[in-house]
Amino acid sequence: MDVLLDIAEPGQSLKPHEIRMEQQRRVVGIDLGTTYSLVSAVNSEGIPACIPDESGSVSLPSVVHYPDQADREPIIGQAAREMMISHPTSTIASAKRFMGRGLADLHEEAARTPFILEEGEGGMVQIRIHNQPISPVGVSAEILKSLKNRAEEALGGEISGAVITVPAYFDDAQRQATKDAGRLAGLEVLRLVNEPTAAALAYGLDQGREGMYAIYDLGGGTFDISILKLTQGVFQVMSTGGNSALGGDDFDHCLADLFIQEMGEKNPSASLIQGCKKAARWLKEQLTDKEQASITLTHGEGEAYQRTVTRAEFDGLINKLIRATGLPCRRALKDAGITADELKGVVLVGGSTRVPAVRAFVAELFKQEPLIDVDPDQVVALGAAYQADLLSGNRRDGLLLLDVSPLSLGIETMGELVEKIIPRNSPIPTARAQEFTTFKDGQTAMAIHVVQGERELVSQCRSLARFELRGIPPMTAGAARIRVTFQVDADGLLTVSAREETTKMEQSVMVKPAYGLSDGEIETMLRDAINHGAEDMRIRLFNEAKVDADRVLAASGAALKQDGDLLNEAETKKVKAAMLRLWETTQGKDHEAINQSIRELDRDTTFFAQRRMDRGVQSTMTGRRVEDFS
Amino acid sequence: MNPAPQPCWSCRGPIPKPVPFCPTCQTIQPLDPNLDFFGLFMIKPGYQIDRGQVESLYRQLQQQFHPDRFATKSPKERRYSLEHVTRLNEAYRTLKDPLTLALYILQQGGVTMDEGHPTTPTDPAFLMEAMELREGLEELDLNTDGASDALDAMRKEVQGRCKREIDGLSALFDDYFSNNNQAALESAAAGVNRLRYHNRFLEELDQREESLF
Repeated sequence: MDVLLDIAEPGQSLKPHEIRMEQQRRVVGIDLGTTYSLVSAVNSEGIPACIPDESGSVSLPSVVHYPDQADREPIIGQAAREMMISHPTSTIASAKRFMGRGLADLHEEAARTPFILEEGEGGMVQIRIHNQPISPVGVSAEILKSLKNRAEEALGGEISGAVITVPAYFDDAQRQATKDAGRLAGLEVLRLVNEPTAAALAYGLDQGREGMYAIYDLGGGTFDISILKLTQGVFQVMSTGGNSALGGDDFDHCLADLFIQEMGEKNPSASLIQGCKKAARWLKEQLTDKEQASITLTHGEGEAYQRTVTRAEFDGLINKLIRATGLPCRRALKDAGITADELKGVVLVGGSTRVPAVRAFVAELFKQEPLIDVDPDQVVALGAAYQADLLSGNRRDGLLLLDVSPLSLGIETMGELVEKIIPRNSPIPTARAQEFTTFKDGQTAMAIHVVQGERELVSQCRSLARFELRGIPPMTAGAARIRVTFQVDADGLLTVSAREETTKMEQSVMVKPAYGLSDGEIETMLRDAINHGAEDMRIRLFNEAKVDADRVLAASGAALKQDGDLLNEAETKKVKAAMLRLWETTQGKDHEAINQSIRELDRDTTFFAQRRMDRGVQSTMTGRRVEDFS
Repeated sequence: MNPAPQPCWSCRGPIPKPVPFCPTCQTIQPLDPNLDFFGLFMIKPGYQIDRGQVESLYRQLQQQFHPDRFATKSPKERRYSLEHVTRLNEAYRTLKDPLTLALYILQQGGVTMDEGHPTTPTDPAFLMEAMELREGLEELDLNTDGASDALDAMRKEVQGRCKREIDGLSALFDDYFSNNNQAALESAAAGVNRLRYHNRFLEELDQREESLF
């Protein structure tokens, strides 16, 4: 908003017209990754850059160690990663894989992790450490807090908002969990942005390179494919697909499983598993440039295990995993209504796209060499910072992201079938409604089961929520009209409401995803986490009041400019004085004072508003504004 | 007769007719509930619409109304933005596809598909052809090498039929819009039904094809 305030009285030292109503906001972009997390911000030239820690490293390993004394703070990042082998059961890595997941989703994972997994109150899995339940949301919040502190130190002040990226293929529960983690870390989450979309932004595809692009994003734990169209400064996501449980970690597991098997270890210890995984990751990284590499591990009673792996052998081991990315890619192309030759470029994102076999597969699949000129580890965080800057209003270059919802949303109907309400790849925000009816005479309640996924059977989709609509007036079967509305917001988060239409009786129910945290859990965590909760609340209330004051001031300024001739000199003075008082309160710290001044300005300008309306009515009647007739 | 001007919710000045932004203070206004999808895109109502133009207008309207543009604004402005864009996306989806657009025109014209018009076609010749296609699909062995080509051939055939239905509908809808001929709208319903049937068949083809990926 560039409306300037020109309300200073002569002789006053204060010159409000020189003050921009919106100051630059300190905002960041965060890539909350499975193996690494990064924070990035846009510099004064509008260029995003990742913020390093004191050792100069930009990547924070997504690892949290919980010391056994409860009063000691968790250890985060590289130091925690070094404790994975010595403290395998109290050091959590790859918590992103557990976000928004129930125990039943994770049986394969549960067998492999050294942790004790159990079901939390809201259905989401918890990790038991030192006999304390730790939620994956809490682990992610620790990582976010660490990045927030890093950014605040580098930027010299409080962070007012953050964009956090999520895999495009994350479902509703996983997104909600990510947003909760941001909240717990004391961040105002401006928006959840899909990782491939953020990558596209950072890639500078905006530099006159209009056309269709594929973003192939293979991270530590997730795979995403997005097809984007860039036209007239708008990035339009045409389709997305992926697999939220496939990534480079699985390459490590292939190797680690092989080592354990060759060692003849039937019941490997937690620390041996971690040791094998570490060796596997190291080998994988070596094989990016080298044709072969060797590792030595000790196991059992100090026996040495030495193994050389060639790139060809590694490629053979992971071939099936890489090929598994092909189906979502072909489906995404089809959903976008294009063929591979119509792509202008293919962008690689995620550390796992460094693996030569992955690059070769992508080149073959899309019939062209992929673009690799931005560091695939940083590209998502850079894009997130760019989007944060766009959202905070600091930037005026007019770029816009139009995203889609990645998975179909529907409800259960007769015979355990799914009725789709919002099909996958629908542009968001979106709302759709569908009518259902009762199937028994006098039925007064109806169970509504919300699911997400592409399959026809409820059991093959993901259950998001169940709720019951009560108070339906008794009618004959089929007479009631129950309208179920799905609304997906710009973060890709879903709200469902239901209403009985014949009686127009409002019976709306908002639902939370089944695999979220319960309100009780959130509350406890917030209480535990926020020691300056009251301060946070005060800042939020102040910011809200200030936003509204800015709007009121701009509106009053515009009104004066347009219709100032309706006021005599004394009246103009009176209005300007009230505006000035309001402006002054916005320079303080008290939100109540702002709201009070808004009410006063409102009151002091009511006569002015009335005159403006009177003139508007009159000009309609006399037809003075001919252009308004149509 | 012109409606009386309404006050802007923000600056309280007069707004002579429903517009998305206040002419005085430029603040976003609530969505006009009387605006249909054509009005939202500011295009002439009709069935043969320029899809390239719709795409371009869609992007321009998103630039103005998208929630990203209102992220730092007051809750009320953010809510209006959400309402505008939700509706815009619905309109975009409807205008883009010949079937959804046809259904929309019928609905706006007061022809409901479920009352008085059976939801599946009843024409015997049509049903016979449709049955043949369906049998062809059912008998197709997806494990053979030629399966993909056979699916493509079927798709081309059905797409051709869709095209013919769309041409027929274009003439009827033209008649309806230019001459206000309600009878043309009533007779369009049968064509819309056949088009819907073809579309379902194409969806089934897609599902079969996925298993080939």
